[in-house]
Amino acid sequence: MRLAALVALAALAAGCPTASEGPDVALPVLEGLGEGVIVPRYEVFETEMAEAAAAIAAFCDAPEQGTLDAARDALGEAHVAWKRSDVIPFGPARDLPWTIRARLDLWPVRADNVQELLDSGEPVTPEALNTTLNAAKGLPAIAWLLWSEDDSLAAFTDPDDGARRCEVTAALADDAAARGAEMVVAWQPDGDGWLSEFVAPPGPLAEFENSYEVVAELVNRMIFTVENARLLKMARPAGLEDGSVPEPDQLEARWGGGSLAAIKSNLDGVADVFHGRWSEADVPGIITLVGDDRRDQLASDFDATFFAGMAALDAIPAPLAVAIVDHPDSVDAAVSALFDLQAVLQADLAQALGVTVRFNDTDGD
Amino acid sequence: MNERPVGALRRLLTAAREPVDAAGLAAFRVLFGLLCTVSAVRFVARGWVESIYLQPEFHFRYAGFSWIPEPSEAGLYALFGAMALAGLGIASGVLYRLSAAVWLGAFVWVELLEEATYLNHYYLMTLLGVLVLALPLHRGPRLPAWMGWLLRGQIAIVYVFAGLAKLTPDWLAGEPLHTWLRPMGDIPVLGPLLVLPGTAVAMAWAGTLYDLSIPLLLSARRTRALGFAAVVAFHVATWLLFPIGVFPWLMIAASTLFFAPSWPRRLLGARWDRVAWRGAAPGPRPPLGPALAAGWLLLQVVLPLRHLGLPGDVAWTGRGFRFSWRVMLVEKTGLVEFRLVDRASGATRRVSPRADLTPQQYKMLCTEQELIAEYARHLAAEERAAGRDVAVYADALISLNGRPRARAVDPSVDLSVPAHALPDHWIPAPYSEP
Repeated sequence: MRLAALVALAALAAGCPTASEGPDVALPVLEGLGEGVIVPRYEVFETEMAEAAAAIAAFCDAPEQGTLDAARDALGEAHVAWKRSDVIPFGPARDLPWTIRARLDLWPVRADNVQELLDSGEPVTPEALNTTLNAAKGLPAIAWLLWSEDDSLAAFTDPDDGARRCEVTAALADDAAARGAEMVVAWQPDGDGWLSEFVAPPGPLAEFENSYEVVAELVNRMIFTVENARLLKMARPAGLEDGSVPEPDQLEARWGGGSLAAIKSNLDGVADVFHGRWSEADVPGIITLVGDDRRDQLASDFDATFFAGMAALDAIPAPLAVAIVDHPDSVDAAVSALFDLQAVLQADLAQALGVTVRFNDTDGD
Repeated sequence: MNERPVGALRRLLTAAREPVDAAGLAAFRVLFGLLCTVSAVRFVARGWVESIYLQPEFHFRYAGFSWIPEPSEAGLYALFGAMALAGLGIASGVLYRLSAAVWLGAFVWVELLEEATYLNHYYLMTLLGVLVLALPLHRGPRLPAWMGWLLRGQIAIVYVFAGLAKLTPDWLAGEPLHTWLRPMGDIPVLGPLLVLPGTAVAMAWAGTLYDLSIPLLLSARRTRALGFAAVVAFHVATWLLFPIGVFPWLMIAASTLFFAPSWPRRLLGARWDRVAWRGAAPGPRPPLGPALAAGWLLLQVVLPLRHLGLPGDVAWTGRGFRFSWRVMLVEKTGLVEFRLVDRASGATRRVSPRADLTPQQYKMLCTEQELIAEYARHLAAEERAAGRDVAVYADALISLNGRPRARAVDPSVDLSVPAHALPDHWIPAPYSEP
């Protein structure tokens, strides 16, 4: 009603020709981020995950330490590529019919569910995996299969269970690769076209009413990505929140030692959106929407706190699963360093763009 | 004693007691009562009883009012139902005193349950509710002149102090209006105008001029029509642009107090006399009436000025900000986390308050030093209940009106101690204070 009244008021004022043709300055930024950062990042994951699936298939064809290491490396790279898009948890990542994030990255791994899938002997065809519990598939499950045993190679070559373990691991990897491809198709204009929801709101699904809503969503997601990196992925498993004993099993990427790499990739994703960074072809980032009077200072503050946070993460002796037990002070220091980065986003950027900070999805946890 | 002032005071008192047409006061009573009803119904309809009062496990309380009992769910809805009915009672004049008392009691009770929802217009409604209860606005056709003066004075104080509070470098430079208008660029036709660099500054100066001049414009017969047109235009515009609830309508209704006392009769003729009153005006009021009214207005002048006696810039510290008509003057964003240090073991843990608060509570906590200290005491109390004695420290960064964030609370001060024993924990404003 209020908007309708405002439009009516605006219509009365429509005699002013200069007021009716104003460009929406956010649209080029969204277009740049959508086409120049988000979709290319998903394409990288699609490629990396396909390579990881191929490496796992090659390992199953010739199970030896060299092919196992190659499969692990490939999965690690795919995981890092995926985590760079944590800052975009909406759209096909969250919404029906895709819900790709839940199907691909439910962490920490529910080992019991994966073990049940192994033991069930049920088929792991793509069709069958569509109805498999999310907790039993996705990147965490594949990592658990590749790393959790003391002697992983022996587990894969065991005369009784090895073939099944390989079959399940390869099938889950293929399924993850299919999700990567599905994500790209979901965003692409010649696919499901979710990109138009993002770059030209309101799109056909009316996900966002206008460009401001998209910007607000992005700013909130940047804040929550940093907050989750600090609290959900470090402070909580380290027992820094409730004073309890560290729980390595609660870490993201517990198996494979990729926890710190995942957090850094999360932060890189935040920087991508902030600066519009993407390899050679930079695009305007969110920072370009900030007024001239505050832009340089804000960009400088972001960079300073971002690199300080990264340095603090570098100072944690890897893997994080060991560091939260043996070097909790270094973890606490990183949590503190990233507090400053979150403050730049939550206090300065949110205000500069007139964005209200909402609930973090993980607040109900 | 000089006879001239004494004589003037006598004449003033005589004029104050002079019965005048009460039609305008009755019209204000009707409008105020209806707004009370609309406000209560709107609150329930929007689900705010649930989201503001029932869902949160913790409520920020005004200093000295933590003892206020928290009603049950049924009790809360009953309070809002009572407010809605009482508003109708005020408007109609039926069971007027009882209605006014019920509305005021229920409204104040609810307001005192959650400090994070403080709004200037709720405060104004409370003050007007006190005056409506105290004055026999359901009686007519004539009432002593001082009753109208008192209500007009209350509204004039709101405008004047709102205007004076705008005489700050931030406001006159267009902040925080500029920040608020920036996301409105895609509003059809007007949007591009709203985001022009000079628009916020022009609106800020116009707003200041408006606040400072409206009581005068409305008071003088020759400028009253212009003043009322400005009131309507200004408040409709703010209603369109900003989420400020019933405040615009309350201020438009209140501006009728400045009209000629008989304006409703001129508009509706004798019909007004048939519906406006529920009894004859009482006889001569006790002589204390004008004195009490003067005392009330003096208090209303002193309260908004109390920040002058408190250290620091009121916009940064928030000390003396409330109950001072400092309307729409600040945009604050921030981030706060707490560190709890076990006094026995030295063990430290972090507490991020977001998960335990509503978005509104969290936003207010992140930007108000007093609430940060209150929440720290709440955390310490929770720990004590669990058998642990902890010190509580806060990491709090706040950005005010577009300035880069700055630390707002001394992170070395243990905030767990009782409020009266708490050392100064504010860090001064990160800018030259006005």
